[in-house]
Amino acid sequence: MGLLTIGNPLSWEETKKLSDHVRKHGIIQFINLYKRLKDRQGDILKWGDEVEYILVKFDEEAKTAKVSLRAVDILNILQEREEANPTGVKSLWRPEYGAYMVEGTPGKPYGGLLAHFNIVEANMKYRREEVEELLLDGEALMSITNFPRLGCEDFSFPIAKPTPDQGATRSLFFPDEVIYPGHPRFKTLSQNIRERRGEKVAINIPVFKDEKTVIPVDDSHLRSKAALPDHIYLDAMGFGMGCCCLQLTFQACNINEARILYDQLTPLSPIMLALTAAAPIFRGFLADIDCRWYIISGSVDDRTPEERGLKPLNNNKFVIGKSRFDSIDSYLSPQGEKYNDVPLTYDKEIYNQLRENDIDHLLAEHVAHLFIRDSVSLFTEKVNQDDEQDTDHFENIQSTNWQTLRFKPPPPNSTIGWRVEFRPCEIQITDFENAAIVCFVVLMTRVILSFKLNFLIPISKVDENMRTAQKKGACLNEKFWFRKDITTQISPPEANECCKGASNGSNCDVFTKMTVNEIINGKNGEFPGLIPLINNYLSGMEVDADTHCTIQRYLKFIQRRASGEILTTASWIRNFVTGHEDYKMDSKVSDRINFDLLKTVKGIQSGMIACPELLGYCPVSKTVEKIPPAMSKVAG
Amino acid sequence: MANVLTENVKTLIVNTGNILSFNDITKNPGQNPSEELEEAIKLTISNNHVSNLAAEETNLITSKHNDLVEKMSEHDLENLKIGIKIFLTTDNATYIKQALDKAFAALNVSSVHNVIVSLYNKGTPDEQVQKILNIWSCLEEFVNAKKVQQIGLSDIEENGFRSVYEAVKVKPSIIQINLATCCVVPPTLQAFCKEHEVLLLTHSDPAEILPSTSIFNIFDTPLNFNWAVRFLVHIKCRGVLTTKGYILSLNK
Repeated sequence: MGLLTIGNPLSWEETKKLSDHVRKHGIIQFINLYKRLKDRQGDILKWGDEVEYILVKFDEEAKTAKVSLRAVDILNILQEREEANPTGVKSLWRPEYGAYMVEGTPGKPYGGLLAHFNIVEANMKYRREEVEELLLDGEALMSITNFPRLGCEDFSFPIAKPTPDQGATRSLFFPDEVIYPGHPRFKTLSQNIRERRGEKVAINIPVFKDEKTVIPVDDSHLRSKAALPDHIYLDAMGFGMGCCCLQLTFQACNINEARILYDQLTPLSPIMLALTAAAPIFRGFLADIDCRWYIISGSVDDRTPEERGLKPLNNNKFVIGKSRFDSIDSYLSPQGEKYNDVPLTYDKEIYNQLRENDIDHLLAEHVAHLFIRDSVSLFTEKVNQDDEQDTDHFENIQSTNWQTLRFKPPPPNSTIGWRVEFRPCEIQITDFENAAIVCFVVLMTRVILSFKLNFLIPISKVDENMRTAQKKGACLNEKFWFRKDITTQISPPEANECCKGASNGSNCDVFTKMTVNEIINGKNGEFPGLIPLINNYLSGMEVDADTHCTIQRYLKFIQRRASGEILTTASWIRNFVTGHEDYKMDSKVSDRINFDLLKTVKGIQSGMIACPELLGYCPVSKTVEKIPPAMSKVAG
Repeated sequence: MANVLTENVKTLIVNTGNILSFNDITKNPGQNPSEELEEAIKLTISNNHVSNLAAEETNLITSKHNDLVEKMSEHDLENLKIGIKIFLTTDNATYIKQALDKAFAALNVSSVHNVIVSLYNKGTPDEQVQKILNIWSCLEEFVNAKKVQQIGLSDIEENGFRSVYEAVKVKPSIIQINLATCCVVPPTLQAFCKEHEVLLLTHSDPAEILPSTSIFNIFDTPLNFNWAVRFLVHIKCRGVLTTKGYILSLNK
């Protein structure tokens, strides 16, 4: 999210009246930008990561840890620095949903040299230290996917009380004060999503049933009809959008490469979600799942009962299969077309309008699909726009479709090209882990382009994998649909024989179920493995010694996570809780357990506590602040 | 093998073309470069096209599916970065010229960005330095003719590298070290590289790129290894490897 200009938000009733206006102009804006920029060529690789953090307040005497609602104070200082020196700062800071959250990105994107992989972690460290300097006594900055006791009584500092009968959220657990107060967007989104839906969001997470777990888990089912007794009930946008994730965006050389990468990374999304799983606790209970995804999806599900298929369509146009936050619904490249096996809900009129303006079938379907949604946040100042120059209405809908991948057109009047954003990963405790994951994904994009690999499987199978990925221990125990033959080249010709037999080429489309370990590390005689492919690619690249060493440490770490030699963050957290002396085998994560857990996490992130079961024995890289001059001199 | 080793032929030159388009190689990424080269030669020979250069008593073998020229024409040359590594076992300077001429012709280019030499031999460090000095002027000529921008050395001890660096006119600006040792680069070497802006790169090549056992495996007959080159073509600033292949020369 860019620097948010402050404005005056419209009420839901006003926004609703303008939803056709936003859609109409959003589409015209897209058509105009497409015409301007479809032939843009030759952009180099630039990329960047986004890390979200939670501010935690420890009370050493009471042995509690709470979210600290000071993001606005800290962001004011950080953004002042940026405004004073917009091109010189080494990091950029943005607000996020929670009043306890900050989001940091590198000040400038990384470039297309392999040596750039060696400065990622150093920049992440810098960001962490930059915020840490602004913290008060007892505060800590932590990259954890979900604050374990978010929504428990008095979970914030200062304490705030939920207001179930009034305000934006009306949650039984989540006070409006915990929403970022520095910009009206966040409260407006919460209010509008609730009003559009016609009721509060409702998320029921299966509780992890331990020996002494009591069902019902609490009295939620007495207070809300939507609550299931043997589930952890959540009823606010903040439970999802208050989670942290690890995202990355990279620039493609042109629109076609962006489509290819968008498609090819789609089957990798559930694999990366399982590998980075880091959220086993919600509202103080151990859950029977390991990931944030399902919770965020539910937390912004603004579909009406009609759209959810619970009532016949009367006031709404479509029955919609998924929340605004979920996995993507269609591939965009010509190779992907035949794997779009889930009927796509889209606005036919918009589709026709796009087609009449020479936008191809796949892209037209994609945009017409995004535009089945209403605007859920609109500002007075942005209602009337110049459709030749502005793209705010397009971005209004585009940026509130929160999917596993985002296909991003170049912004107006900029030197930036077509980009793809990769969004499934959960955030890890240490900079080392986060840098490893980011570098792994970007390396995969280079491997895909170099070897012209094909990972495509039917989109329905990707959806199934997304559900599988969130299960408890999925990284180790579950199997995922994955393509067997990922090569696409046509020589020698015998290798291509299988395609000739079947007219639809189905014989070449063999996909099978594999574990994360088999996908990442390979399966003898059957699947090469993503890391061996990366290593083979690296052997053909010019890599300086330090960068090589760093990348190898990252790849080793990922191999170990995939093989189960070391634990996922979710499994480690789970083990910590169940092994804690205060844990009563009742699925409950008490204040004391939470305190000790987060203290330990803090020790691990700072390197004070070694944690080989989570990180392996060598979680140290040779990361440096700057690319060696000899390397940048021969850039190319 | 009959058709590649015809009687009047003394020299075999094999050009694997772009091995990134060999599915069998992509599917088997765990191979080391020697194994990969062996397989690439086998695949090339099994789909071969032989041109007999009678005057040179040489058979030139390329794959029927060689897409090298096509691959090279997909991008403007100015957007490509071409690197070549020459594998030698003797200090025969004519081999360098032969190898580079063949590589330039195969890639259809008149210049490349860098050339790195790996000279495998079992001599003492002093002997190794002497051998490198014996071939260096040939490399310098390529640099002076603006056919090569940077030249470098692979698998050489720090002292040897320093000796060469001191002795020559056109300095090596790349040193390539085996990745098995990369995490423990001697600090003195690191400092030397930093001071002289020498690129310290890694590789994963075995000391001997094509041992005699591999040659026998491929051709069912012993042949002498003259030289091999590996060419790597990248798209500048995009981290994409677009072409990779080998050319090698063998004698009866």
